[in-house]
Amino acid sequence: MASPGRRPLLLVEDEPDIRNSLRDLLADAGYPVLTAANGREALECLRTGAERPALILLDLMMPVMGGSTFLERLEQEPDDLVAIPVVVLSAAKDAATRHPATVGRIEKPIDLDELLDWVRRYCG
Amino acid sequence: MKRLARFHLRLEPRKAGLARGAALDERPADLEPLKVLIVSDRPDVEELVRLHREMGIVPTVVTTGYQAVKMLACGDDYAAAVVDVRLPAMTNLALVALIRNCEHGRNLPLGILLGPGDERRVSFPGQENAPVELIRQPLEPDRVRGKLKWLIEHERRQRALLLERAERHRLETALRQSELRYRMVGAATRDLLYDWDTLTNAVEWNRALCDEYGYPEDILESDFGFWYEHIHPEDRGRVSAALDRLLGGPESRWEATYRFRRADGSYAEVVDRGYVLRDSAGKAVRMFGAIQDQSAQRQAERTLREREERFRRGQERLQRATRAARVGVWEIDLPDWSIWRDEQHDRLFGHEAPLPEWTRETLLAHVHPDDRERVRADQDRAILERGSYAHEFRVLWPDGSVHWLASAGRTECDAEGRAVKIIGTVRDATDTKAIESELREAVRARDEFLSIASHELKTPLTAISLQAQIIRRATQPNAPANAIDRVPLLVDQMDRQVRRLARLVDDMLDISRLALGKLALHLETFDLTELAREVIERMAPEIMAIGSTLSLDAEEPVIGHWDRFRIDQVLVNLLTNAARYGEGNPIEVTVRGSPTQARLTVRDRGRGIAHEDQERIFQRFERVASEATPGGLGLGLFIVRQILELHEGSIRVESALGQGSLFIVELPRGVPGP
Repeated sequence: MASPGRRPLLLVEDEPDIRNSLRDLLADAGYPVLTAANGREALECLRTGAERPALILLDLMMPVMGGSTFLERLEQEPDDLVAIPVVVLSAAKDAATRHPATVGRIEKPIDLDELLDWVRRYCG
Repeated sequence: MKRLARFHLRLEPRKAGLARGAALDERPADLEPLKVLIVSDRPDVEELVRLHREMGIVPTVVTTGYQAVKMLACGDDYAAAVVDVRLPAMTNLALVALIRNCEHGRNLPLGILLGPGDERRVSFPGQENAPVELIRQPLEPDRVRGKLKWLIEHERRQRALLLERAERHRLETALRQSELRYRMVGAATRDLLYDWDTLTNAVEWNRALCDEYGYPEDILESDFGFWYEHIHPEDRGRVSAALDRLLGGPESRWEATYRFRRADGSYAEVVDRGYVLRDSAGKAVRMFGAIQDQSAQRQAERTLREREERFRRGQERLQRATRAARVGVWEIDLPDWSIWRDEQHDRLFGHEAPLPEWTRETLLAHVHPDDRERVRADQDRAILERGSYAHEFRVLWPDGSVHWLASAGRTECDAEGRAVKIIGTVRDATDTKAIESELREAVRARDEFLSIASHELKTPLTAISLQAQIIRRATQPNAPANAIDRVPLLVDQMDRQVRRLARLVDDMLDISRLALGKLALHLETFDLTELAREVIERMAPEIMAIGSTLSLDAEEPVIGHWDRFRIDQVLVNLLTNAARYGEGNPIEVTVRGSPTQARLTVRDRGRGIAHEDQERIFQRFERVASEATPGGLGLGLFIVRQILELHEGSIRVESALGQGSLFIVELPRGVPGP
């Protein structure tokens, strides 16, 4: 039940169960959610989407294009896209967690309260 | 020693006899020409002179007593003197007294010339030493000759006597010296001296027999039997034969080496040098000799030989070892950088035969350009710091091949602390390097596996954890009304994720069982077609969830004797793989049977596998995966192959990039077909 006026967040996660669960949960909490199964889909979504997301939740190990490569590609995009804050969903610390766009990291298994804190901070 | 001394006395008289005979023969020559001093101023002195000359005597005539004394004092060697009783200025008596005072006149036979009216004296000084004859005047030639002859004969006898006495003295002195010397030598030497009378068989020894060989003194005079019995039994025959040859033959000198028993029963290794004395018929009568104990010397020689032998063997062993270990040894003389190296060294640089010269430039020229500076720097630093180094570098052999060498060196300094040498070894490290890189690769693969495993395990865990949290929220009072509707779906998902988790854990357990060789098969007879259908039905929902389809092409039952659970696992793994890499395209399974074989294929229409990866994917921890294609532990195909090999079957893949993959499984049926 998305609240009107809120900018969406982009959830990038290859595992369907996780992706779908998070999407439903965030939607229930009133946040509009865009989803992508990998980095390439996420870039597509950013380039073609009508609305720029307020936050990207990014898994790292994904088929086709992983999180780290996605962050590198994102740097080549227009400034408004580059400026989007990213929270990495990761089991381990990684170069991606030190990327300038990365503002936070949520360790797996994901704690929903922690996730919602990050979402609230950036999506209101 | 007494007998030995006697021997000298007995031996020497023969020589002495010879000497004496010679002296008698030579004596006339000693006195020739015989000289006689005549002291007279009478006119008939001419007659006297003539008579002398007739007898072959050389007369010297003086007219006064003074002249006579003067001639005698001059040391002229006269056989006799004829003195006139009437001399001017000196009485006859006074002159005789003067003559007797002279060294040469003391024992000089004298003729006294008496004139017709001269007083006939009967005694003259010195008469007890030398004869005095009266010669009357006028001179009667026969009488004069007779007197002169007597005087001269007397003198001749006297002189011979003197000579003999002197000779004897000389000989005795020499003998005494010789005997003394012999005694000294006998006492001083540690050699055993013997004197063997071959006629009586008596043997005399010097004290060395007691002092050096420990025998009691009463054995110093023993017999041949004692000597013979104390020769080592093994040497006795040989020595005795040699001795027989010596005594029977013409030789005088003899030498033999043998073992001679000491009083304590031990044997001395001796060299015996002897000399045989023969009589005029050539028959051996005595034998003298010295027995020298060479045990210590022989022992030293043996020790030296052994030491040399040990050293040589050590060298040989070292050489064999360095060759076997492919280790070369080298030494650099620092002042001029001249380099010594062993024969193995150059071989390690690819030269079958050693190069004529080896310099630092030779070394660096062989070293791979990328390693050259490092090698040079390591050596330079070791010299500078008087330390040691160990490094590995690549060398280019003349045949173009690249080899790894490991070299270690240590700097040696002189007393002033100047670096003078670097000594070290070089060995072939190519194999070590290969093992090292294999190990590194194994560690890398393991680390990657751990990283993947943790990701793979965390993914279902994350999903389950999320689903559990969502269910909890849905059941809370303030949850949205429709939240509870999703719970059954979430539980299904959880169920699926738990199964996935279990499968991962099973795979990991299988891996460790396979690694330990503990994966046992439980064989039963079943139909592969039926099993394939069952697995496909079970997996269909999962496969269809990712947008793919599954089809089975099997015409008839294919019965075989296999482990049902493991073949099930093979199918699941192959289908999971096909789904993972099949990019959502249809997956086709076929099952066919021949009388002895079953054949199962799984085809996907995915991205395919590059040729170079086709073998690798069957290995543990290996995946074609990159970041772009994750999923799975990289164990699936490894486990499949291991299971099939346990069944004495096989798996291979036919694939090309972009054209999908066809996995072909061949299984012997194990029992005759239906």
